[in-house]
Amino acid sequence: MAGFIPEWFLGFDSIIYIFVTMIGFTIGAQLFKLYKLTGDKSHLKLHFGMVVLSMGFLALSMVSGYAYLNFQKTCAVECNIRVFDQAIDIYDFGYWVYYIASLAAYFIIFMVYLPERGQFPAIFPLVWSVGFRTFHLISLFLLSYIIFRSVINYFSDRNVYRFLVMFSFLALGGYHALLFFSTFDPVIYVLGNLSLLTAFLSLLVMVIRVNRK
Amino acid sequence: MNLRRSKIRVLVDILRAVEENEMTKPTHIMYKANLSHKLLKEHLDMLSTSDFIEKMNRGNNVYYQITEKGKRFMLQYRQMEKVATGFGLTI
Repeated sequence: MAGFIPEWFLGFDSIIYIFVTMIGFTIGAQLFKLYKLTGDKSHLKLHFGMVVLSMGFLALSMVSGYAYLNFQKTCAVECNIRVFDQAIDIYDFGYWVYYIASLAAYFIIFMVYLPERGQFPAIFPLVWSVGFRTFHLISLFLLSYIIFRSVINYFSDRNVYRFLVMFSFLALGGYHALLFFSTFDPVIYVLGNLSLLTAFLSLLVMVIRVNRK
Repeated sequence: MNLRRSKIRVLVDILRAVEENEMTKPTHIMYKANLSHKLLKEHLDMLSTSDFIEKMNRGNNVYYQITEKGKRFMLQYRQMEKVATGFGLTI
């Protein structure tokens, strides 16, 4: 996987994931406050979705940071294949945690936006065949509906909060779309990660604006 | 789509009507919150017991006034309303 990450970008992606995790948990806390106020289950589901998504990014930030540091430590003197392989194994494990957490989170958010309850799209059998590309493809499929709903939400009554959420989901979709093609050019991986950061920064701006007195 | 107002929405509509003026008559609240007399009384009693509003007697008339606790609740509600509508959710 490390093959399509530009060398100069190693470590920066871990920092982006840490930022994304922190913002994600902040949004999750805000959504929990909303649930405490209303007692509405859909608000609780959205809170869980955001927390699970943040946990996925937390796993990704930890393992990518660990793999990067290990790579630096091991290969600064001489590349020790055994240690390096161990780091890659942990890296892959972290990616699996991230895959599962992200898909679960998108599925929860997807269910929140479904108009009729009781409809379960046949997505989980696909999860068994998840690889890097399949993961981004399924994520895009789930997100495309969430994006569609957020666009409708924005155009039904335009305001800055609806715009920021719509923009955030669009940028998150952009992240998965770009990472799907990242094997073609390492720069796409960088752009994808910047798109991810933009998505969560957009949500952070929303929370800051909401809490501004 | 559920067209019924949630309980929290009814309470907020009452608080909105009460905070419009310094002191508000129950008939004004009933009109603004679009409630029957019976339901209004139930909700006003509940809000008074929870210290969100204060009941005041002026001569033969009864008035309601929003308390500091009620104002804080409305501030929090308005913040959360922005989050909910941002995500396309209803309260």
